[in-house]
Amino acid sequence: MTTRRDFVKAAASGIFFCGCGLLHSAHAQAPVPQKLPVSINGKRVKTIDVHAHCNFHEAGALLGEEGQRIQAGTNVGAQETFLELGPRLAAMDAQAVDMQILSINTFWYNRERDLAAQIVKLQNEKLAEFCAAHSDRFAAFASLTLQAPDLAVQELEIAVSKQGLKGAAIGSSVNGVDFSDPKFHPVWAKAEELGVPLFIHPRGVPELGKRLSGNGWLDNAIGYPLDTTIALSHLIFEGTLDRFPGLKVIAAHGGGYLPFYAERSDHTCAVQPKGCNPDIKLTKKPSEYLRQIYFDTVIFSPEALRHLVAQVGASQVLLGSDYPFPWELKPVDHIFATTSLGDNEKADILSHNAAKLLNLKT
Amino acid sequence: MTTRRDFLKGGTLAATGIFFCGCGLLHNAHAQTPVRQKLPVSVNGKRVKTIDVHAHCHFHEAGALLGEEGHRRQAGPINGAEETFIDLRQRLAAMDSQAIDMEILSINPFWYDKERDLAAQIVKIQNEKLAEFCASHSDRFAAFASLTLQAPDLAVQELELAVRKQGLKGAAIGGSVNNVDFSNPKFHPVWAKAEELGVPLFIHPRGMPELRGRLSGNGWLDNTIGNPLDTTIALSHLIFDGTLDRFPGLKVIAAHGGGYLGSYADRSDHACMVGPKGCNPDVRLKKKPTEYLKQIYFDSLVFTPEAVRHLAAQVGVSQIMLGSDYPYPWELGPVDHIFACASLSDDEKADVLGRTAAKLFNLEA
Repeated sequence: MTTRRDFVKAAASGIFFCGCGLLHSAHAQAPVPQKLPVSINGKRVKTIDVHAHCNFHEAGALLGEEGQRIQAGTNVGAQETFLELGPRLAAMDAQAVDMQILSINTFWYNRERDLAAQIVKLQNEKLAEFCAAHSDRFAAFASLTLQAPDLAVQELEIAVSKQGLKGAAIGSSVNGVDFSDPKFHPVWAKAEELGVPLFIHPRGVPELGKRLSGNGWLDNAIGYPLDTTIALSHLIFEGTLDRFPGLKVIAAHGGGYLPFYAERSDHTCAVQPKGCNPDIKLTKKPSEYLRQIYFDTVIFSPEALRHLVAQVGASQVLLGSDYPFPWELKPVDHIFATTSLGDNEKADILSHNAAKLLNLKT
Repeated sequence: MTTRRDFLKGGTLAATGIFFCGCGLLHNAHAQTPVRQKLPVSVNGKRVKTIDVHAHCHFHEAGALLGEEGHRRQAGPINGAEETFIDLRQRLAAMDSQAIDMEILSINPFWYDKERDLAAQIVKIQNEKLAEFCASHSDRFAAFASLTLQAPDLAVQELELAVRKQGLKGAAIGGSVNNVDFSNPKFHPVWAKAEELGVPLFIHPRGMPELRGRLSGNGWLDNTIGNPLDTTIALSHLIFDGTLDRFPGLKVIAAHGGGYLGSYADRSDHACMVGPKGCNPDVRLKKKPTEYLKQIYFDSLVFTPEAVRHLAAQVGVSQIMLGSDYPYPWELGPVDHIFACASLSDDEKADVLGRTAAKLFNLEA
């Protein structure tokens, strides 16, 4: 069985930085492992990882035996989502990450209102307590019972004004209903009013179970970026981002496919007007909304990061690792290896963009 | 109603730069001011025969075999759909205005769910008509054959006939066959035949009906997302299930720049380390998943110089060929688009515009 130790070794020896040899590619530098404290051009940079997972046993326990299975699953790294301060700090030190913004992947949206509210209450209290005790290394996104938007509004208000949480992690849809549905408007209005971001993290696309079967874990490899792409496309095309122009959205895994393949969206209504709703008048081209959304850097190669920055702007890109899932065990080195970025852009992506967005001290 | 004339005007818009916006950001591959190209096209003084590998057509006689639903299946209510029924003069005028010397015609599969004999009749008519049309206008047209992939034994014969007797240049195969992916072993004899004949297969998506619920609403997401997704799934199975290892000489062309996969490739290289239970230990790939992209061909229908630049960085410029999706008005300045790609050298532009396709299809350049 492959252990976490093997993955750390593999990452350290450079395996995650291959495939950069093609003409016109943003060439990877030989990765120099960064250590804390990280500096760029002699200036200290506090590195902030906006995509880091956690779970609490007590929350899963509210679902009885299935709780832990639902929380963690069988992926490599899953057990490390249950926060233990010592190992987590050691991992962050090894990755040269100063601070993680913790989030809990949604697993309670299909539960009945009161039970979900208990899970959310417990999680937000635990997150608040943990982050307050280690505020130099951790902050967190709140959980919300989005299946009960009235409750979610209250939870978000408490999380931000009383518990010191920095926004909310909302998944990618709520039991198959996309975020553009008007029933969620009060929640987005509250987030806009509070000035805090929402972290969109995919949960897969179960409708495609059959086509995504077979080798390659396509349920995740394709299902995840797809799920985020659908979530963002609805927020754009249904006019949600026009209705809430101050809403701050962060999309995991570089936003899935959308920023990497954006312009088809600009042409589609010209080819098939019948697929588009004439009552929705967007204030700009669909691809232009990408420049107001934030994206993490879990996209693996300097060439992918170069392209993402070209599409959305360096001001929209935030360091992300997906820790403790071993997708990208050298997230800070990945930014340093991207030679298309200037020093200021590297510092922005590693730190300044997130500090500003989340109102953190650097 | 928006007419084709409006869209051809849109072609003029392309000339004035509307289809080339979004290039002002730092580190972007800047678009040059697009200059409207005319036939004959030259790159740095050298004549290049421009070959569009992604152009659609239909024949009324084939749809008629399905009675009333035939025409609806063939055309649908999409702008440009009626022009899939080729009118020679109109088609040549459109190609001239886009500076396209040659189109490689394909017919999107609409017969995979029909019973064997009926599908065989449709395919037979189409391949005969394509062969006849291309033979009479061989300076401007070549074509991919249709196949009854739901009956692979028949498809093998059709492909053999199409290439050896009818002068067709490969086959257009859709994105899956009634929800069964191309990696299914039942298709192996067809891929073996294509490999033996040395002809390419053109993968063109047909959308994702299973996702209709999530893809409803504004923005025609059924196509905007469903089409690149369908291609992404098709290619991922060919890679991950070992099909491309089994048929190393198989030539695959993927429409719309290969959908998402070419532009968002690297997640595939990491998935089996994070979720080993989602991977099959009996399938031992010969190389990293993303490396297979460097043996697949992709059309250039990705709209911006920055997108072409990124695709070329990921798959190699040698794998990219001009594609327009004509007569659907996605990209009415496909040749201008390549000229606007400042990241491409003159040689690379000539390759993308025609030389790579000429070699792949065994055409005079």
